[in-house]
Amino acid sequence: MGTPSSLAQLIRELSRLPGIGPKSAQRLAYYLFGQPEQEVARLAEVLLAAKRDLHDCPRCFGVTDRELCEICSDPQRDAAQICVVEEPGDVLAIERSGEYRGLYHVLRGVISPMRGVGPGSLRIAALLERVVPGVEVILATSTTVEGEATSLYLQQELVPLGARVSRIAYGLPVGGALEYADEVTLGRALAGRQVVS
Amino acid sequence: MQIRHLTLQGYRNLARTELDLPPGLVAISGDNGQGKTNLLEAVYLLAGGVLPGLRLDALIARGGQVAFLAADLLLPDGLSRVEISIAAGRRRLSQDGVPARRYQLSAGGAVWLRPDDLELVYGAPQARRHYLDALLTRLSRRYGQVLSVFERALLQRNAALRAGLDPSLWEPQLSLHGAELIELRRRLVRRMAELLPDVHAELGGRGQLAAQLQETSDPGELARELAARREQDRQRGFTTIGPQRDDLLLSLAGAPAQAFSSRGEARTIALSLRRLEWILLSERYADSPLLLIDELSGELDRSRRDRLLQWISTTPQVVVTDTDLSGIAQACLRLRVDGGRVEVQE
Ligand SMILES: [Zn+2]
Repeated sequence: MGTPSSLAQLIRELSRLPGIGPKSAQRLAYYLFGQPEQEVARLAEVLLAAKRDLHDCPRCFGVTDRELCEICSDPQRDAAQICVVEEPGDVLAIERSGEYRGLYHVLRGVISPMRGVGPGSLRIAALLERVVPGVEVILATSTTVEGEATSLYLQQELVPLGARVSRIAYGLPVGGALEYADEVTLGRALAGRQVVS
Repeated sequence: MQIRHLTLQGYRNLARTELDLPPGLVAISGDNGQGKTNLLEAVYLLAGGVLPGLRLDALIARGGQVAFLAADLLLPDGLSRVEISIAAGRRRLSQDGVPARRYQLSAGGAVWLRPDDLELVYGAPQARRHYLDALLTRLSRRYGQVLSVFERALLQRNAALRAGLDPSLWEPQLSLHGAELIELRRRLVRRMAELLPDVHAELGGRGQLAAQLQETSDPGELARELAARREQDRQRGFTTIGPQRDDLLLSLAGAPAQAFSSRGEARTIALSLRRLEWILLSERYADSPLLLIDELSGELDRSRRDRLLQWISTTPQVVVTDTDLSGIAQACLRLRVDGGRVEVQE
């Protein structure tokens, strides 16, 4: 029996999502097919609304539906600390740890010559503009080979600007990505960060 | 270690296979190109064998999407079920139903004797580095972890050199992990140097066989030397020093084996390296590795063959292949591979 073409198309689109293999895509497609029409319509609207309303925060490059994101516009946050992460999802992971009250900067990737990504492809210039002498910059890129090299690059750029630089102290295995760290580990990693300069 | 049951699906040219394997000698015959070696390779991978440079996609049957291999392995503490599935360039392992990132192998695994083992003597340095890396990966879990991080950093530095990006960003990781690889290799080669002369003599080799690392950099100097070579490396497009460029020098009676050994001498040297692998794995895991011999007659020459049969007779389980094995009387199971189908022969 062949798969009807609209179903096959749905499976194909779903399987393009990160972390979704062909089997999961198939399961999701059949699940959606089994839902009432208004539920599916609601999901479609939520997706479209998210796409319509969300954009990059112009300061930290996190994702927001406001002009400036909730964290950047919160006067209670400590502006003397900037935590540098790879992806918007990493902000959520650190926020969940509840240990951090400073600001963020999202690089939107890591340096990877194999993928043609040099420092110029990342949101690094914008970070350097935010740094004034005395600010503490916490480098929280992952402990992958690329995360370590990106952290090293940032150290070299930040120190001459008079920033105090520290590197998050992972109790994570070599090669660990932030996304997969649990909240307790992350809280501890932040508290035990190593001062680089 | 022994293998008790083997399951293959969608693996290279082999048809769906379910086999029970007895202890002792298993003889696999068949014409060339029918799949004998593929069968040995599957057993080797299931036994935790490491094949540097292996392309995972090549393991999947033509036109297929997934290759599935499974075995019941007999370890010193009992039976263990191992499964490997390969799809979309990824390999998933599990042992006793628990996903395993790397092989949590608790026993000696397998040693595989191949016709192209002559490359260990005559081939490029890469063949001998692969031998060291594969053996160390099985002796030390740490080595395998450090090696994969080192290789990633190396690929990035080489890409940076070619793309005109800053290679220095990758050097602290290269020198840190590279130094550890060199130290671990030195430790292994010291042990090799102690054992090799006797192993070689027992296999009928004449003249003292010696092994020594030829290093392109001292581990303590790696960071400085990488920095000093940036310009030169940029021109050549790759990283010219480090453990990825080192070699294992073998010499026979004081002369480099690569240049001066005869074919027969080279066979005995290669066999000695495999025997050494078997001894070190036995020591490390207090368990005899499974012995796999591809093309038994390739080892002909009467004295070598007798000594190999001696080795076989003291190993709990051995799988051998050749076009014709009817002369091997002691086989406990005879299999024939024909066009990818594995059949039990009475
Ligand atoms: Zn923001």
